[in-house]
Amino acid sequence: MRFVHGTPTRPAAAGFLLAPLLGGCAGPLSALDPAGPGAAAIALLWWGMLVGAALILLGVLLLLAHALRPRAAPRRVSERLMLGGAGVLFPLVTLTVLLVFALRTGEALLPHRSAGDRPLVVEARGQQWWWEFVYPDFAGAPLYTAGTLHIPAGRPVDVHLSSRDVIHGFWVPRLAGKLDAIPGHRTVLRLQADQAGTYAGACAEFCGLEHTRMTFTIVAHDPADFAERLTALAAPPPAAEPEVAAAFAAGCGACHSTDARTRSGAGPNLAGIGRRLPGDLPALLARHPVPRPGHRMPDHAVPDAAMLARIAAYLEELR
Amino acid sequence: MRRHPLLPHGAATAVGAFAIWASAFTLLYIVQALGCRFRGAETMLLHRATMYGVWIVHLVPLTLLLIALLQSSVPMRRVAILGTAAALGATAWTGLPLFFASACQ
Amino acid sequence: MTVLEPAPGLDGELDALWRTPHGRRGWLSAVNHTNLGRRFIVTACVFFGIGGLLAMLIRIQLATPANAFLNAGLYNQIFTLHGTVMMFLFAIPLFEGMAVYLLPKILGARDLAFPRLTAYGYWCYLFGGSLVVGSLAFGVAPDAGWFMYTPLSSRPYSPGINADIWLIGITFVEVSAVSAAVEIVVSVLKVRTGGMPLSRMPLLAWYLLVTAAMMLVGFPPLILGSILLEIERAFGWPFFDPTRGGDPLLWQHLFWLFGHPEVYIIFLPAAGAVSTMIPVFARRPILGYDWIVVSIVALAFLSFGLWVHHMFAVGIPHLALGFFSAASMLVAIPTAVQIFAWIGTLLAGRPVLRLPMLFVCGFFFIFVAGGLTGVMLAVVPFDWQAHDTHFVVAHLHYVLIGGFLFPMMGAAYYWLPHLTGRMPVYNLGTVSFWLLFVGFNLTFLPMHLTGLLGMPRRVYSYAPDLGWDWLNLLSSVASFVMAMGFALFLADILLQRRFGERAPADPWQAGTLEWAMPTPPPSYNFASQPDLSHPSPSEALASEIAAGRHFLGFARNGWRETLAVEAASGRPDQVLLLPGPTLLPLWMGLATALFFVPALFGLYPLTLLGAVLVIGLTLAWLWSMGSRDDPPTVPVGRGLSIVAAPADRRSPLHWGLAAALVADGSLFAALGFGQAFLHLVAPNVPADDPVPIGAAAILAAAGLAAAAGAAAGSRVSQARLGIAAAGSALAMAGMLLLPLPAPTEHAQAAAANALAAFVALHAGMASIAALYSLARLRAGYVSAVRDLALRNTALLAAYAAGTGILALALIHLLPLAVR
Repeated sequence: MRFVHGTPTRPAAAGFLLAPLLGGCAGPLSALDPAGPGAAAIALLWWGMLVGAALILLGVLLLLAHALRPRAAPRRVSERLMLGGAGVLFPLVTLTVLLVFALRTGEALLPHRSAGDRPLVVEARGQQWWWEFVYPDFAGAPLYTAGTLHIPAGRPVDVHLSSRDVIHGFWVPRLAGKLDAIPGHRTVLRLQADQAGTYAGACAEFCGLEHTRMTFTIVAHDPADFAERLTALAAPPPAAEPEVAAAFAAGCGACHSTDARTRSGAGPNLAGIGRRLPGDLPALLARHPVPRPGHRMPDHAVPDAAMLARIAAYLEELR
Repeated sequence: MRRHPLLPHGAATAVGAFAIWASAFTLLYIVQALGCRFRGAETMLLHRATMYGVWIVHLVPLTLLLIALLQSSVPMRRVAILGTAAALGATAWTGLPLFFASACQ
Repeated sequence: MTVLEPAPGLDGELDALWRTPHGRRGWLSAVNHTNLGRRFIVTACVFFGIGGLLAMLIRIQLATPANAFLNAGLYNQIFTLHGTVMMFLFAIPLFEGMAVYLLPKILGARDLAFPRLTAYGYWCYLFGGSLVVGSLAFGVAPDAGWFMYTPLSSRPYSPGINADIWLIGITFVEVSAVSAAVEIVVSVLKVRTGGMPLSRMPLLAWYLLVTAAMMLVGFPPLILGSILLEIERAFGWPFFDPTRGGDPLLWQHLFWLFGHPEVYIIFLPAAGAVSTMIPVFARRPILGYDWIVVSIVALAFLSFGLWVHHMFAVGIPHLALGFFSAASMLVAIPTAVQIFAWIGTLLAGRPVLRLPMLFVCGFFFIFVAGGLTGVMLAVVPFDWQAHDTHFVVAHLHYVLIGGFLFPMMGAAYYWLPHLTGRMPVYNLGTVSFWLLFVGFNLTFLPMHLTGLLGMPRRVYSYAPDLGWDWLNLLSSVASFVMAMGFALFLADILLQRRFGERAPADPWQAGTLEWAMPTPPPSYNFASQPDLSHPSPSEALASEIAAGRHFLGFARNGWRETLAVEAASGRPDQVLLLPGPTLLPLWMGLATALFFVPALFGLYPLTLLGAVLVIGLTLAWLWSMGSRDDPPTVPVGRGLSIVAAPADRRSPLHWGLAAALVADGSLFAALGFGQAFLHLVAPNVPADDPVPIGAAAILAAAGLAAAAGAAAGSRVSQARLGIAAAGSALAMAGMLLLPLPAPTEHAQAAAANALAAFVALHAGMASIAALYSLARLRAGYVSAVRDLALRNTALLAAYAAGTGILALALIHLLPLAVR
């Protein structure tokens, strides 16, 4: 097919001009750097609205500037044109187009249960100030992780959201919009990552003292890797040396499980933590008993520094 | 043009016209919520039909009011006419999502 | 030049009647609207300074990643208080101050309808506001965000006194907002000069009227929500607790049902100022007066259909979001009509660019930009990304600072010569404007991008590798430029007061009524109230007013006289006799404080004492009005004689009660909504069985019906009042005896109990009103032509009966219907 008007070069030129601008839009939490169909549809909506809004603003300001120019005699201005036309008709037409487009976009992003989709269902339970993720049906039994949610790339995922305490907002900007996790409610967010990769998530709804630090990660795997990763998590954790196991059980074990097959107590499940926080663990444990300010850690006997280091080394093995 | 025997002051008429919009808006929201609360496969059509009904039922009095106003005189007549036309437009516009959005998801 | 100074004799006589006495006692007993308006404005500006300092702390903290300047706990208190102060203690009270100061002056009146209510509102504002802000000094400021989402703000997750301070302090302040709203509505409708029909009222009066009407309907849902949440925190009634059948979303509905109209309540008065200034500086009348009036009415209604756009991300079905999305976009149209009416006026006139116009131009740029991002946020899918990010922070500052602060600063420069009698020191204002304009845009324009790059709102810190560093640093630096602009503005005003040149009469050649008086204004505003019954008043109107040639151009009988009119036509229908300085409002404010403050510490006996004092003072207050003689007909000048202070349905007191009941009805509707929501929408396990209709319910209904029936009609009779009092008391007993389940068990039971308590309270009020009217009747204050007390009792009894029957239906029938 031939393009008589030479259009093929235009997007390239536009891309060249926009590249620095769009480059500034990249970032681990950037809604303008979409990596999934939901975020992409919304980003497209944004760019369209930005251009439209900029033109309207410019038009209004030019008209204002024109109106403020000094002149000798008053002018006749048609009320019908100014108010009926610019004030009512123009926004009415523009907004109708926008509303229809917005509703259609929104409808496409909903977690509909249509035939072809086969979404993976996972759960995300918010609590002050971390997320617990549940894979309700992996090989017949649920799996639990904290802080990291594993999903397959290229397949829609329905995240069922709930909360154990206050309202939290589940948000992975590069994949989809956000949705609140509300105690007493169950909400469902559809998201999808087009490529394997790591996507940052944040809590969007103010949820108390450590709202800021309630971050999490979504790791999208190629389908085969995804099954492999969950299988690895479903395996029993490596055995610790007896003293380490005893020290862990005496303190940490009251709240934290190290086995993805069992639900953790009050604290996050540590399965896979060696992969999630490589290298950070000794420093984190050294700040024991409060590895992060604001996190609620019950009083318990704290092992000495040497034992903490050994526990950290053991946790490194939970991968 | 004669003073309309029933229609009140133009400002009150404009307020009344928007009260009809408010009624349409509120009832649409209520019917939507109740329909989802008591939803069954067999009532889905009824749910949507009721909402269309609520919408149209509110367009009728606003249209009649506008016609009556165009043919008679009240104090602040232009406010009454513009207000009623605006409320009619707003009511029509508020129903637009009925055509595009799923009711309970 | 026009002579505005009234004849010396007249000035002295009127001033002796109207002035506020000097000294501390005089200050405390002031009821004059000019004094109180100034006081509201100055207090609001002090709170603005505090809110601004808090904003500076926020920007310092966010200037660099991982900043250790503030810790999380303190940061949470600071941002919560910043939002709370700016919304509740600055924006609304500043508008109230502007209305209190200007309204009588633009309406050609000498004061507002209820001068003592104005003073009472001020005390509530001052006491409540000081309570909220003072908490920061003790480190117990509210810290759950200015919209106080439950369950975060509930007892288990906010165990301290912080949340109680917000709920109780803000409710205290809202008493002031509601009383101002009643005051403004009645004053605009009734207390105007002769010959100003609604159709020729200044646009600003329309704006203030509609804004106040919106407050009557919009604030009660928040007041109700705050009361319910405080009851939940204090007594464990689980309205919002999901573990006992409550729903956190009910709070969000109640809060935003207030919160969104609030935005327009803030914007409309500022738009009114723009609509006042633009024709003056365009040197021609405004384009499309009727269009603007319709736009204001449309905005008022539409703004109540937007609240769910703050809740697009809570999982509400798409169609419901669609309705609210549609209404949210639609609201752009009446706004656009006003924008183009203003531009059209400038286009058609011969504009002169004076200092206030500079701020109006800044307003155009910032507000239109903020409006456009508002339309974006009304788009549901886009909001799913932008919601709760710094994009929203940017947007709301664009609309609030652009839509409120810039026009209000323009208005300040416009009306300061009126307040101070002096002209601005021009260049400082210009420099201040540019600092503000540039500083503002550099602070908040980048913030849109910060938000889209993923920065959630209300985070106290951020990691360095997210691409937000330079944007935040830019915002922080620019915010200090903005702060310098404000400082310069303050300096300019102080300098103007001290060194400004004497303002000439009508310095902007506005030709509007508020300038047809000397500046600073005399205590009585107009030496005679202008007669506007001729469509184009004469050129010499101002000097005629000064010479006392219009209405009431004299002092007699020691009366503070001002005209009141038929609402629509503006024909004078009575002379109001307004009260003079009194400490009553202050005592009432202190009693109200005694009601609210001990509740913070659980000292409920003191709260009860406060309630008793408030009721007693209210009765004493009411008792001080009226006369044992039938109202005389008195000459008011221009050949007109009308009745003075009629105690019947024409009295502003009757209108005032009706307006207050509109607010009360909105509160009741919000409570009814809560009951319906908990039964129909909340995803809870329902409570046990519906409450059977028993003897108590029948007793309550019968008592209410008897009271309403007995009080209805205007025939004066002791027996009827006795029946009304007894019927209401019976109804109160019936409501209290309803066999309801314990309110702590389930949210539905809590809501039923709250409804019963509401009706019991109102039946009690009706009973007291009937007894009061009986006493008035016996004391000779009531006659066939002085039936105000009876009419008000009848209105109250009818209201109690109506809400009572609805409440009984909601308590007994709704649960049956749901089954």
